[in-house]
Amino acid sequence: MGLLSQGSPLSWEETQRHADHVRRHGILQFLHIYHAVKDRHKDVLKWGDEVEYMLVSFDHENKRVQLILSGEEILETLQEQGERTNPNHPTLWRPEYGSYMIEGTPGQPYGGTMSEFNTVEDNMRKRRKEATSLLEGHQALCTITSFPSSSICCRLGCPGFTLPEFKPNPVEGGASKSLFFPDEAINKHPRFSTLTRNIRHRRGEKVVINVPIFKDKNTPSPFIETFPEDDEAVKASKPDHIYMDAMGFGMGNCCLQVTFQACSIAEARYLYDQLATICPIVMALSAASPFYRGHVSDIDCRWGVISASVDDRTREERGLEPLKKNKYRISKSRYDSIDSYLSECGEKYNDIDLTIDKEIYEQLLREGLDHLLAQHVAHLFIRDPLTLFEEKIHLDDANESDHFENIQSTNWQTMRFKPPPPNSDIGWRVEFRPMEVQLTDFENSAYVVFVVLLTRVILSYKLDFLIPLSKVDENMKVAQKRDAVLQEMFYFRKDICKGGNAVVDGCGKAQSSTEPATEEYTLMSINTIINGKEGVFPGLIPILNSYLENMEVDVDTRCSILNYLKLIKKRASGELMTVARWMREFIANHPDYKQDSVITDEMNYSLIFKCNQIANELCECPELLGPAFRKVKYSGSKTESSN
Amino acid sequence: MVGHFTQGICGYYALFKETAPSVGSQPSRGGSSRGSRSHQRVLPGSPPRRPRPPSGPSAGRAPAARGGQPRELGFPASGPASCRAASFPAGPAPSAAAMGTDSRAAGALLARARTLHLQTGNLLNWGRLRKKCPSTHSEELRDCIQKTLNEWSSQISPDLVREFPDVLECTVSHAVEKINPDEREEMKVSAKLFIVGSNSSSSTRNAVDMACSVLGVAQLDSVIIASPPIEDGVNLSLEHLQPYWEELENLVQSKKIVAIGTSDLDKTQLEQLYQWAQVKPNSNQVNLASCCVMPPDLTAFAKQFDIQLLTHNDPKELLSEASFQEALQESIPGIQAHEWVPLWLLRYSVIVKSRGIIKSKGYILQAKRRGS
Repeated sequence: MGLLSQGSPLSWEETQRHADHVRRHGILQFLHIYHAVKDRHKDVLKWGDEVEYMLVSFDHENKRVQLILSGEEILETLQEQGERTNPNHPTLWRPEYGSYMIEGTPGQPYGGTMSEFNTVEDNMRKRRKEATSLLEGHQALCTITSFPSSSICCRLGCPGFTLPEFKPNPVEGGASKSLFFPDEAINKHPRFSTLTRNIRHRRGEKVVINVPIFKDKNTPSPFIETFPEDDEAVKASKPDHIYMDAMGFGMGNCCLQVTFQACSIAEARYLYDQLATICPIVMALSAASPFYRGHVSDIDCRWGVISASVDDRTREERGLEPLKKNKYRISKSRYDSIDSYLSECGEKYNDIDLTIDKEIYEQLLREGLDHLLAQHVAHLFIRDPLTLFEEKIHLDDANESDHFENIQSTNWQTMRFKPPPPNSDIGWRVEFRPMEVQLTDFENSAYVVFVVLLTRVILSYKLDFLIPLSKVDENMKVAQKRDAVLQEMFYFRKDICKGGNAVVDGCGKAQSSTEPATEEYTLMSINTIINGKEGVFPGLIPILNSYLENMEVDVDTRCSILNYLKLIKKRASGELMTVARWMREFIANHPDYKQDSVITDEMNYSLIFKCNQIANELCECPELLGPAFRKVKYSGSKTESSN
Repeated sequence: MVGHFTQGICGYYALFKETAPSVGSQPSRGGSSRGSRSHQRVLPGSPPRRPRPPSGPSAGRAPAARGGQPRELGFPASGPASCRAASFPAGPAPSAAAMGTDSRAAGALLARARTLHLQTGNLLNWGRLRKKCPSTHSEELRDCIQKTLNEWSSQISPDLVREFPDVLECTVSHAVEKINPDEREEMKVSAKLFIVGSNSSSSTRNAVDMACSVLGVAQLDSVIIASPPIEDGVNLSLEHLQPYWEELENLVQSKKIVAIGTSDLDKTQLEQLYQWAQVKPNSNQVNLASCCVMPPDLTAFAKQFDIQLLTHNDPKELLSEASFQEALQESIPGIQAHEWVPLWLLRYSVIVKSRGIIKSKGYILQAKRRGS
């Protein structure tokens, strides 16, 4: 979730008064960093994953599962026993939005050698084991993207989905003011509740999330829920949609992220752009969140839900009212896909209207930034700071970057371009953020390794995936649909060896000579993009394989990578299910399911229980993971974790 | 599954431009892209790259007009194709004529030379030179040999023709790329040596010397020797390896190579070599197909003696004498291809160590004219 400072958070009114101050100094802080390290180069590859976890408690007798609101205490213990005791501890733990969540990362970043790909899964296992060891027998650590049953029967006054149970208390002074999501489920660090409240206050109303309901045989049509005690909900909720009204429904979901260190700012910008086109594809491949607030939805990915859950734009900014108090119309939530490419060869594909702070843009140009980087930063800085701590208003701009990070880290986009922290030996980095978290360490490793390998291939072969950014946005919308991985088509570049950036001889020349300029992109299925199709597209996995054949890879690592790519390949072809698909089938086949799109507490219990068994390898799930995906090597730890 | 992993390096070059029009222009072939792919496998002949008229429908149909050439009938639509077209008047005239001139000069040179050094340069610099997408290493290699010959023969200077050198240096000049000495430390330069013919012991040294000179380095970081070809039914034994290994040991001692390794040895073979060798193997490659089902004795032995077990995806015979000669014949028609015998083939790769990036990859090959 980014920056975490202790202290006294300011209210929205106070924060707003300091907004220009934060922006002004944020830019100065960025400039200090930029000037100091813009020529940094020859940084090695370092990378790391971030996995978010939910803490759940099973009540086997009553067949219920609830989210445990003790993430803060568990985190404290994990940090105390881990990084604070031993700086070389193999895991790091961080707080997350939900009080029932924690985030785990490897203790040290991974390096650039191939054998490191073989340590990812081990490390994820260590994390799972370490955190699980602090739980009681009936509790578990789950990597599920969206908890299906958030407030299933929480129509005010019903027992909740949390442990301990809390009634939502929708009052103005609270954080969410939600009918469903109690403030107690938000992490107790003041940053998170302040963020929640300030988003709501800035917006001028509660956030509105409407997810289309999956229309099953017995689902009422139109599907309408009533909220007699809440006018705001009555107005905001849409027929045939699952209505949600709190940041927790979005930011309370779990994700899987990867960050890479590039060798230079130019490489970081190149990778940022290239990977941006991959985001919708990998998101659809990782689809894992079909259920919301106790209902079966018609989407498979969390993205739009989180986007709406932190949408702090006012009615004016959203274009519903003429601009009076606000400066800009803003087309997207703070949590959304990127709005501009950063590399030179991306410039001609920047076809989205970019709202920027013109003064900041001019200032950055005067300071020597190029147009593309200047507009990127000037676009991030159209946003207001959402939280501010009284003690952290006046900073040393040359040696701190909190104000820059304040804006940067609350622009939650598909990709994040990360300047080095001040005075550190860290280089320019890029974060890949669209993935949904998977049930098992094996799957999470597979997705992470796939993405990191893809960056190596892009750099080795100087590939070019760029298409107009508006098409990437269309892909993002399509990618969230139910079963998009098999049912939908995605815009993708036909000839990936032709970019302006590619120094490959002959690249780019061919076009003028032989063929009239046709569209550089076309609609492809994910299967074609991932596995290739003769005469259409070579496929990302065949390219990865040809790369791997040129690298020295030891047999163990190669076997792991083989299994990881097999998973991705089969998920793309439909031979294996996505987590979302698998969850849908699990519910559809549940004896209690009445084909009415409703997930009861007991169904939720069976589902999460099964997920936990799969995650801990207590049962197989060939339709999700493939037959006998587990390799011999881990048989040792397998026995341990099953005890 | 394994078949899937046999994709050669140029899997990443989209064929779209070349193949798309062709599919439309050849409906009689059933139109399925799968179909054209299998044809492509049957006929490895590759179109020369030199500028040519666009391969429109007429070009696509050209092979049929030639008649009596069933193999060419099956040629995928990427162009009118093999250099043989030169001898057929029905072939597309301008490019065929150009090829004729090129290959005549090349033919004349090859008729007089004794040794042929062929090097592809950095295949990552080939760009559009690579149109086809071979699915195996053997196909990739053959494609590389032909393209290199075509490139070279299209750029033969009149001076060279007057000289008639003994040793022909056949390269894709624009793809040649030496390692910047300032960056040498960041790179790992590895090579795998494939002995092709019956051989003089100098092959190993020649190959390593040439690799060093092509890449502009004093030393290779690692050289792996593929198991030398042996008669069918005979098991590879230490004696087969010894002459090459001794040569490699000398090269290690003279600091031309840092570490040497083997390929496809089982535990017994590896153990024999290990016990006999002065410079011990530091790695042994195993086929990709077995990386998840490793024989425990080999794994245990390698672990005990600190031998790295690496993976490869090369066929048993990467380049045969016959396929080399076919490649030669197709690229430079009219020469006595059967006189030319490949001695060795070396594949190198240059990796940026700390970043996992391939900087360069290529093949070097030496062939001799029989009886010369």
